[in-house]
Amino acid sequence: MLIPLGILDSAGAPGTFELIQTQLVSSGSPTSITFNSIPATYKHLQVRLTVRGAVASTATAFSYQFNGDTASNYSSHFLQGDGSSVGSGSYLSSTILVQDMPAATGTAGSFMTAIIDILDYANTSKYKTSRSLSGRLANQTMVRMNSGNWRNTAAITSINFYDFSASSAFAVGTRISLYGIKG
Amino acid sequence: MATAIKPLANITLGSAASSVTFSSIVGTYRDLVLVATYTNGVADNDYIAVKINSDTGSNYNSVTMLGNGSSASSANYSSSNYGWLTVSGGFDSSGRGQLQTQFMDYAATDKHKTYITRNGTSSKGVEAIAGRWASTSAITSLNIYSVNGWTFASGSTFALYGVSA
Repeated sequence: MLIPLGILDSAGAPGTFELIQTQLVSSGSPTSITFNSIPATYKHLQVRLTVRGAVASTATAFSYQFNGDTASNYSSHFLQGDGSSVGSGSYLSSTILVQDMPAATGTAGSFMTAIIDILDYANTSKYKTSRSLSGRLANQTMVRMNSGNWRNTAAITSINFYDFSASSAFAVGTRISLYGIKG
Repeated sequence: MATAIKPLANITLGSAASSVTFSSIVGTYRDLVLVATYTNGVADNDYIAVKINSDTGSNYNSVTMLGNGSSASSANYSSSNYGWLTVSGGFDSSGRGQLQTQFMDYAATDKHKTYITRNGTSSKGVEAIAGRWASTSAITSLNIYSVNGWTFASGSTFALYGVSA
């Protein structure tokens, strides 16, 4: 099935694009949002999110890791437009960075949004790849496309989202939803 | 398990129209997805915009990124009276185009509404846009129209989906 970042099941056929779990920050200040025990019964995963950080800063980095792996087993590329120019870059890192999200001193009410596709996540014969389209329109505007790679053949069973730059909490209103796509 | 995405409305124009409006959008989903294929039947110097909840104030901010085969560019539109859905990639030389837009957390009342959209044509390039509507109101209507005031031709299609969460 084609996965064009967001619309996966245009016919609305039953059971091909399913919600696995939503996590909504309605109180408190979680420093990470983790999806555990992800079933291997889908072909691909999609994450849809609106996020904001709680650190005393205008913006902070939003990032994710798989299966609790905090080692330098990730690489990623990005293509971004900031309102004046287009740039590209790459990372070899211990995480996959999506882009910055507004934080506590940023424009009130503003969130960063992204849709992340994680392909063939349960396949044990290949490294795992992901891609995302994200945007924010406060405290520096940015629309960004990412590709990510986790150099591991293990099936993805957990995803951890966190504030990479400040290790701080998510703000109330943050929402991350995980979906499974049948193959 | 039920599918998490459901068609809410599907409009195929039987005659030319200056705009398309989805109204009385229910608040029972988490995100909205707009998929449109359209033509103005004329030319490529046209742009598509959205007004949310009929808001004509300067409450829209957009940032674009375009690659046209030879160069890449980005533009910022702040405090606009509408949100941009296409700027440079929305119409080919015959006035045809397509777009797909995601309105995230559209019914939440604790945050501004953010959307991300993609469009592209063979003659103009590929474009991504992020937009923010500076309002915490739930989105209940979307008005899609040509910035230049041209019309969408008969046969243009506009589909709206709801994504559960």
